[in-house]
Amino acid sequence: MRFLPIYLLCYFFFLAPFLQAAEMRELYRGARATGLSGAFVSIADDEQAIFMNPAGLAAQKKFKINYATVLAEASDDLVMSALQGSTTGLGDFDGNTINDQLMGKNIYIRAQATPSLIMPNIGISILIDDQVAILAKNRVCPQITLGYQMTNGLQAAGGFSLMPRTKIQHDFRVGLGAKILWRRGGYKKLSLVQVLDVNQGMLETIAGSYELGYGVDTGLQYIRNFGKSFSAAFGLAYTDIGNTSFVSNSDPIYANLTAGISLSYQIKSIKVTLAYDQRHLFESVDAQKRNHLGLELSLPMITVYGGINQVYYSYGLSFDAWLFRLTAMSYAEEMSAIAYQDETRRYMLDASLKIGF
Amino acid sequence: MSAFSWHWNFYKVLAARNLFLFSLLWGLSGCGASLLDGTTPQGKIAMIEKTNQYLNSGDCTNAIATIEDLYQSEDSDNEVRFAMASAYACEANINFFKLVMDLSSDPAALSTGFFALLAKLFPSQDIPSDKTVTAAKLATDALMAMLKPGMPIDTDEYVNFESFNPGSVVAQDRLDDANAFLLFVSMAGIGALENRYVTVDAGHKPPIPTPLDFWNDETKVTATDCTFASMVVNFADTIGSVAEAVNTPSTKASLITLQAVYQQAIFDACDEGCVTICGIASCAQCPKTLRDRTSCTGVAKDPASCAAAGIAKMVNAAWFGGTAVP
Repeated sequence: MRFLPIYLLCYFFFLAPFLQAAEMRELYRGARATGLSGAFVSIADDEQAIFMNPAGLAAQKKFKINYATVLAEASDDLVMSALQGSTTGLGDFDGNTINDQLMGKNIYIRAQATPSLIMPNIGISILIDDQVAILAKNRVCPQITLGYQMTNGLQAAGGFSLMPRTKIQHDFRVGLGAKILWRRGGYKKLSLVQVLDVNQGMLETIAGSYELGYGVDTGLQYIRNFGKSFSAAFGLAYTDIGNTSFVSNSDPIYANLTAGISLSYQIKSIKVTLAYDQRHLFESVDAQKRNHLGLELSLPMITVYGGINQVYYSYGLSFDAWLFRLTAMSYAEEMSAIAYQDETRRYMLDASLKIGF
Repeated sequence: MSAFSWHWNFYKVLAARNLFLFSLLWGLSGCGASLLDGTTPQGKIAMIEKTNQYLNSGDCTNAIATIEDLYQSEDSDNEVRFAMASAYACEANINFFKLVMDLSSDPAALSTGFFALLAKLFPSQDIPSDKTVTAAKLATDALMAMLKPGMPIDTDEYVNFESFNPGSVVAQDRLDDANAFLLFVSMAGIGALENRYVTVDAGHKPPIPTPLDFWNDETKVTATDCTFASMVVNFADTIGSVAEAVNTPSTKASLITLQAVYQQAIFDACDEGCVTICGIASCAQCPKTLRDRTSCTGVAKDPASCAAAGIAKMVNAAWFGGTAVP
């Protein structure tokens, strides 16, 4: 294990990449994981482990039900338009209006519900995810991507410790997860002919019909405790192994290899966690887009988040009153092939009703 | 050393090691060759996206500067050509949705006074700082080079054969999106060039005598005249091509109507130029080479020049709403 950091370095040099030009979309967005700017694979110690790193479920020793977990997020272009209100009447709608309202804008909205049941070592969650987006560029020769995607399904995972219970200084965990999903739609870039030919039939084709797909995740974690206050962790997760594909029209979920490390320090009821992940290690993208650095400051009932998601800052606040948790945060995503080209900032609100015993 | 001191020192070493690891990983993630490198797939995508970013706000100069070197290199491909064409088209004052709305706002002008409408929509002056016509020409070249993979192309159908972006004069050899955008680029070029021939007044009618003076004499056809005629013929070709590509019944019907009115009128004009003006064999559907703006020789009986003269006669007549004034 002393050579674990060296093993970690080796991953960055010996991976076969594939090319993805645009936003690196995720099947699942967890509030806490997003608050940590996506640096969660080595932490994964709550219900989000079902989706992010099943090995983290090895730490679950109690029952917990998140019976109403809903999340909504929207891009700043959409939020600002809504806050300002549209001043354009139907009679004033012209080419300049379309340019002002649409071109260079990333209009995006997403709603997700993930009620879950956590048992010792096992977690099961329902996933309901709906996304709508219009991404438009170039007022001279419009490059328009329409997003309409609905994903429903079930995901189950289990995590187990390989270390004897007497070994409290170390813990090595492995996990496995499986999912069955129904998806319709995706993100489709329109050709110029399609821009000229937009009609209901085309939109229905983009939306498609529900298609079935199966996926498998796996993960591991190594936890090193230094006394009662300080711990370090390493995590590795491989989700959607071999890509979770659907029959024909719906966008696949690309395989995602994530590696990360974290440090935690706890004094009484205050805990500080610093985490760093590299996500999408299989994809040939600007290396800066893989970076995720997160900081979590947990106080009684209040948790403050901050960090850097890819190259953009993120921040958030969570209020946890045992049976109810509310989290609000802001993060930004890079929409282009390389960093600092096309930032889209999003605002997220997550509410969860839960009970544990 | 007390046990506490030992543990604290150990924690500091461990924290330092891991912070070093964080820094090393962060630093490594930023290493590598420049990402705006057109020789790599990722770099090429990044340059195209950067070009689109500039065109969000109509920054034509930076858009052209971003993509031009890649376009003029062996790494040029159809995606690069499309980005280049849109950057040049920006300089030709094309604003897609505004143009579509402007064309739709005056349905009557589409059937009568169409050429005058284009002159109104694309003002231009024959001064060195006005690059509208040049930009339309270069955008046309880029779009003509967007060829369907595997298409057999005859030698006499190529344009710019020696360049990194050889094109075809045959619309069916090109991608649908290239023809769709060439429809708008052609309109921009026609309108801008019309403003070079005559000062278009508020009523969008030119003064007498006829603006296009090469209407009855093929030996008067200059390079600019040939460019104008070439753009008119490309406009005719692309109407038909786009009409074939769209699927919406109402849109398809409108384009087929436009095709029936303008495409046939332009092809008939070419034929009149060849047969009536020059007295040579019929050139129905216009000489293939006239799609290349450099094809006119201005020599007597040259089919491309004859067809260009016929097109000028047709445009004059359409502008005045009747027969051409000698």
